[in-house]
Amino acid sequence: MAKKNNIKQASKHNPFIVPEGYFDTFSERLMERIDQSEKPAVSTSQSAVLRYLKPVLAMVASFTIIFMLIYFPVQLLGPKSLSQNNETISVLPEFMNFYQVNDHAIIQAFEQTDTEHEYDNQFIENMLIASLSEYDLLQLNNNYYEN
Amino acid sequence: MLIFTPKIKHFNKVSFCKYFDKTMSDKHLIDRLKNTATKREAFHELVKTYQEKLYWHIRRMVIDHDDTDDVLQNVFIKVWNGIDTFREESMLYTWLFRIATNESLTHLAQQKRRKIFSGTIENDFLINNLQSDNYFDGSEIERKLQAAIQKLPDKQRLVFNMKYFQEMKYTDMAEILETSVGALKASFHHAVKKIEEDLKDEDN
Repeated sequence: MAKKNNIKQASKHNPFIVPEGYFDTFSERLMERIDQSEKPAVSTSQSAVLRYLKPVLAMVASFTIIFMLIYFPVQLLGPKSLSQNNETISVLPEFMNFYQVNDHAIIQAFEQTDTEHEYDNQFIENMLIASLSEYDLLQLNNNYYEN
Repeated sequence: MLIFTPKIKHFNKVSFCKYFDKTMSDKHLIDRLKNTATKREAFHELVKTYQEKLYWHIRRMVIDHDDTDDVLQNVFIKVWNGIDTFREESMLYTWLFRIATNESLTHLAQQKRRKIFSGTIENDFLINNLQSDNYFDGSEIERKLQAAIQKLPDKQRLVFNMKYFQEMKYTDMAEILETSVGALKASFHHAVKKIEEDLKDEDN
């Protein structure tokens, strides 16, 4: 009995209260909130498109940034730029070969007949006129007739 | 008239007339709510009719006044947006209480999720709400009773409040909560036992 009395003692009286005039103003506040939520409905289609586009644009932007971050360093330090540097490297051995040429190689070069280029007399004459001075030519002429 | 037959067979003449009037006025209200020209006016009428009943139903579940205000507004906004989809398979009163119940339970679930992260156990936050509530004007025994009620699982608490304080019929409760009368009776019985034991422990 003591158990039941406890609940009965509490009674069904409502111990909760509400702020004064709460129920008088509730409907107006509610309608205000509904009106506010319906206002942007005019641009809903626009905002819906934007809402769907936003993540796509963000993804495109981030991919572009990642691409730029990879592409430019590769352009600067990548294989192409390395190949450009290789040109200087590949030129270098030839240049160095110049110093490694020995006498034997020079003689061999003179002895070799140029099969690729055949020069006629006129060509040789023009070359001599262009590269030698008048004095040299005169001396060359004298030597020829002496021999 | 045939559509009322299953529900009115246990009614006497007076209760039948009341039920018929209520159903017809609800039907008229729903028709006006579904008509764009009369929607606003009808909705205002609906809010004025049901705001207090729904407020107390929610308040006893979420305890805090500001939370109750939020939940009540959400309930009516759902009604405003969903009235066109209301198929009138249940009474308007039942539909409104069902929305209010679901909104209250959703709110409590969200609160619990937040409170778990802050280390609060189960319904302790409701007892804290009760202790700090400026809009609680009960005696010490009423505070103890409310504290004991807040320790119940949500659904048992819901059944206890609806039966004990709101004095609803089991048949109406069964329709709102979409369960059987037997299950509700059992739930109420367990709730009363737990509350009594809790109050007994408090006395010792």
